[in-house]
Amino acid sequence: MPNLQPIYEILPPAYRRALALSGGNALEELRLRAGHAPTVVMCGKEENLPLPGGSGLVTQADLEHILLAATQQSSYAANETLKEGFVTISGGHRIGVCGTAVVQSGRVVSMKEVSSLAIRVARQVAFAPGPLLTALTGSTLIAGPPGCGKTTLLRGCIAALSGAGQRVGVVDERGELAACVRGVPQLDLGSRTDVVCGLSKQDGILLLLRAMNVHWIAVDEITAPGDLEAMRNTSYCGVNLLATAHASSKDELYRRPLYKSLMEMCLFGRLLILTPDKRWHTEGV
Amino acid sequence: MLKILGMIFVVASSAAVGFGFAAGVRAQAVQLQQLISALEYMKNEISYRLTPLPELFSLLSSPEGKPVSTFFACCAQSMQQSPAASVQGVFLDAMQKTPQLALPQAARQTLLELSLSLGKFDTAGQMSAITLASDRLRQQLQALEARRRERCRSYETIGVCAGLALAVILL
Repeated sequence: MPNLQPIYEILPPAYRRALALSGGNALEELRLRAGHAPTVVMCGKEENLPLPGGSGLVTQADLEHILLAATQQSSYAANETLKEGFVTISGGHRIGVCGTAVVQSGRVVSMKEVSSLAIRVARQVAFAPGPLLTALTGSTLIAGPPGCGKTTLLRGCIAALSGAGQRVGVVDERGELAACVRGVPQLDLGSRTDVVCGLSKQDGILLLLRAMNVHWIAVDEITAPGDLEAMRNTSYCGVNLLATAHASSKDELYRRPLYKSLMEMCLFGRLLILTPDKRWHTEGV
Repeated sequence: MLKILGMIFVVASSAAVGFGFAAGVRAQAVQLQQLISALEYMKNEISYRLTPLPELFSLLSSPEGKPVSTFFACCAQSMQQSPAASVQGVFLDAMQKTPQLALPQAARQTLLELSLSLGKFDTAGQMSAITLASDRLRQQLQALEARRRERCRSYETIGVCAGLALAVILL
């Protein structure tokens, strides 16, 4: 069962009441768009969430209020991720932010006039370690479409490896994998796992390689050519890699230029393909 | 004998009131200094570690029970209990919950003005808001220090003299 308390804490009272009435435990996403009724995603379906009192519509002031609360009233502390359009709150729940970007000298410096928020619920799902460990014999890439549970499966793999005595280094760039609060992971990644938070994948991978003497390095969502370069450097150092990528099949991986380059580097020996029904199977590269 | 005891009691009471006022002025200066130090620490924490406000306020609270520390402890507790509360609301609430906070009205106003900027802007914005508040508090401290000696002496003298005068009248 997900810990929804951090989400409730940042919502105005009317939203809290509405969410509690809707049966919050099955919540996958809460989506708020200025000028429209809030919606909830449950079991893959998006439905309106009736707000008690008032017009029942989300206001821009509500969005600003929620975002400020999500940053613990400390925008400066979350500014780096806000510029990329998200903020992660306690419990590992991620809030996607849409609004008007403030650009200075060609760089995004902040986000103003927030128009939408998408609050995605982080779930701790216990995977049976046996089948995962059978699949994790070397560097492995987890692929699946958005929302099918790649991060959750990655977390399961890390916990399984850690439980089997392997030292795993995790680059938690967005604070979603471990959801560390004051250095303590809120989501279980095992006792032999070292987590570096807030660092880019490139810098984090190099840090773990240089400083932590780990057997595995895990990263979520490969999105930039720099990530590939850092992984290539790591792959020749006797460390196994564990990563996720947005692709629903092996064919799709080869069709996207970035992932095609990744596959051609032959860094990964095995693919774990996730399907929209949240099941996984292995494929050779 | 009873008259003498009564006189001593009247003079002592009146002098105690005078000395109490003087102690209040000294406490204001001490707390202003503590607040300025706290703001300096706040600047360093934000610029170097980007520490979020609830954690920052916790760091500024110490178990020694100094009024300024207690004020920040109240702020940290409020922010942890209700993350959606505004910083200004948190400051106002903490001021009410810390009766031993002896800051002058101008210093309280400076703190409330700072609360309107705290957390809302980027690091550079935080730095300039805290620097502005620190500068104002320093000016207030200088003004207070300049008047402190004469004010303290006045309060103490008035206290003793008023007690003596009252004792003479009552005799």
